Amino acid sequence: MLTKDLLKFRRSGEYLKPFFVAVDDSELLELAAKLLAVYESGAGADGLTRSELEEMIEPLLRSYRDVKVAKGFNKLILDRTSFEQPGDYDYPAMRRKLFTVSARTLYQTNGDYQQYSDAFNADAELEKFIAAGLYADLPDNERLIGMKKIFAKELLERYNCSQVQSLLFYCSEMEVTAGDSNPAELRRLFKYLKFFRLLADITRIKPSGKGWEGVTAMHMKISGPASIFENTRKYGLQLASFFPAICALEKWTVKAEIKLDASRFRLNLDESAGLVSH
Amino acid sequence: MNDKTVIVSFSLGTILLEHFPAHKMPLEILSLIKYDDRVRQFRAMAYHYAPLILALKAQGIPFEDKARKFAPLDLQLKTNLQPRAHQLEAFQAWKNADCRAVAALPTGSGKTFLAVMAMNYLKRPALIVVPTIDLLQQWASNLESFFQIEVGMLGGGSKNIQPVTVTTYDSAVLNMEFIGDKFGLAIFDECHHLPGPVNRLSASMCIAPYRLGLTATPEREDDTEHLLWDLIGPLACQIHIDELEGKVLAPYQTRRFELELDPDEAVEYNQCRGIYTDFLRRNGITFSEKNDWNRFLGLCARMPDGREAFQAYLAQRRIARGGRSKVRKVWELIQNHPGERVIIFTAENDTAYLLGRKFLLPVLTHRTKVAERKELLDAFRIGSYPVLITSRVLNEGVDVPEASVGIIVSGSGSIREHVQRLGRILRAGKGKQAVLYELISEGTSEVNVSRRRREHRAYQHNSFVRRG
Repeated sequence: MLTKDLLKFRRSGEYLKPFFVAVDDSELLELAAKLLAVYESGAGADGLTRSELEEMIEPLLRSYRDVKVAKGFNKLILDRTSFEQPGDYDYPAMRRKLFTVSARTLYQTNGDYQQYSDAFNADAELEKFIAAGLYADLPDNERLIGMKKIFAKELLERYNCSQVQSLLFYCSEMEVTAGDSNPAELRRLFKYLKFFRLLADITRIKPSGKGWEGVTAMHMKISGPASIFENTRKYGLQLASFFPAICALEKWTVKAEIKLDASRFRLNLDESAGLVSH
Repeated sequence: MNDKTVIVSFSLGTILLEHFPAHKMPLEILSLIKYDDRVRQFRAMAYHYAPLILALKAQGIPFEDKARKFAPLDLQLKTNLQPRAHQLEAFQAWKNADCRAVAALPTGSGKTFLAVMAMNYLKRPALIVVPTIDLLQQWASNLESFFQIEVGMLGGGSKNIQPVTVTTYDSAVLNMEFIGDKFGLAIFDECHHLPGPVNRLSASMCIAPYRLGLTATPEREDDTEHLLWDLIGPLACQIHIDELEGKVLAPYQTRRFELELDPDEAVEYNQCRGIYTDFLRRNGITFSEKNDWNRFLGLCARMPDGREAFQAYLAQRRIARGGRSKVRKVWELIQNHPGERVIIFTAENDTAYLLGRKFLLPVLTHRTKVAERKELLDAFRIGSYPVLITSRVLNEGVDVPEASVGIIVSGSGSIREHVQRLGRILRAGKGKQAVLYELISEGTSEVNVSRRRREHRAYQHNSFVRRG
């Protein structure tokens, strides 16, 4: 999922239009491929550290004219990675040793700082450890050990879907019309609804719109058990996680009110957005 | 027609009422329930469980309670510790409020023991909700020693639920729909956190009929205290710092040092400050609105000179917060207090690690892993480490009983934060004089921050300024 600062949308009146990338945009596909290549080649037993990765990624991100999009790609990739701490020292144990010395020495040098810091050089191991950086195990120094594989085009599709999901994170209720010529697909939707512990007001409808002929359809107002008492964002994550199940259908519409900071916006979407489920 | 038995059940953080005879209920009960079309039953928020059950009993309506999943608990207090007068006073006030109330006590006045008294009195499964991982561990080990039972922990990587369980607000919100029926008593530590739009669900999705809220500062800057009274109970007692000082809390002094920047740092500060404020002025940013900070960051990313402005902003802040004169002063103050426990506060991690590397002393930040965090706190507590440097993690309620010297190297202006920091070093000890030092870089924006900080009543005595 994307963080708030990576959301991209346009406002027109009370409506909010999420920004989508064209999934066949060659420039973006190339950017995605380059980013993925850095992570793929950088992962492993002796993988790159977070700060090394950042150094390599930073120019790539800035090479694209819209940094926010590039950062969004990067965030989605990072969500698929795992990192490990440096193993050259048992850091907590070494620090324990160091702090025992500092506790003993702190008041033994009559306030002379130089004499105090020299006292640590008596132990070669400690001296080396201090020079290497006694807090070198901070997150910046963690190494990339693995990444769940994804293709560049898939990443672009995920990005578009994430823009919607990350907005839905800020809603408390979703109004959905769902239709599919295969009723089994709708039953699958209910399975997911239950899985994400959501509740819905459901009415079967006879759709008449273009493309809806011969489609089994229903209208659903989806929120959580406690929603009837309070408009709560508590279910935002659940609603967002449920969204891919909707955009997997042949025909769908989603309406939601998005509360961002102090403003409220309406989000209306349907299958013409071309989103790909995962 | 015979009335059907009402079935009360717990459903994902709410209460469902099957066959509920709404027409027989008084108005104040009707205001607590709503008909849910989605399941064709009446539904109520879980925290209204107690009034609903009492109303059913009062109306003589037969009902089956499937919601409550807790039973009396064999809880034995394994200590001879006697409550102090103000703890007894708070306990009585809470009991008189039907065991649903908020107690406002200053940090260091033994809020944990008040909670222990409540638990021992009710003898029901209890859930304690706390704001941070540090407090989670601290409460768990305290309760284990008071009751000699295994105490569950939910949050910070642990997921062990026991009849007595400690959890964080975050984890409580995530898990309450599954565990909200398992506890008879809910205790909210630092409960001024509760009224937040998400945090409040940790109280509203739980059926616990008995509730206790603990805080040093029930006032909220957004005036949402009424939510506390609704979700926990009324404010039953309020004790102020100065009422306790000298009796329970150690007497304390505050000393402020205005330090001159080193000449080269002063030059750099003024240069960077100039670039930064010039950028603000040209773009009309005054920081009078909440959004201004985001606007500033946005402009820094977009404008051609934004990067420079942002670097300048960081540099002037770094110098004001952790200039060399402060570093020297910290060393001098540490050296002035041999045999005492010294705790050093910084506003951000970088300054904390800077001091830690320079003086080879332990640093605790939110980046410190849970196991080492506990180790550092324990070692500081028993005195094997005399000094602890920390950024904001220790700002609230973490019990560091033996600290008698505090040094604020840099910090933000929030009043609450500062009172919580004061609470940390105001610990009772034999004839102990606690001191709080505040280091200010002269001629920088920090001077204003410090003035705002001292506006609180806890600070309005015994304060004098020294030139350093």
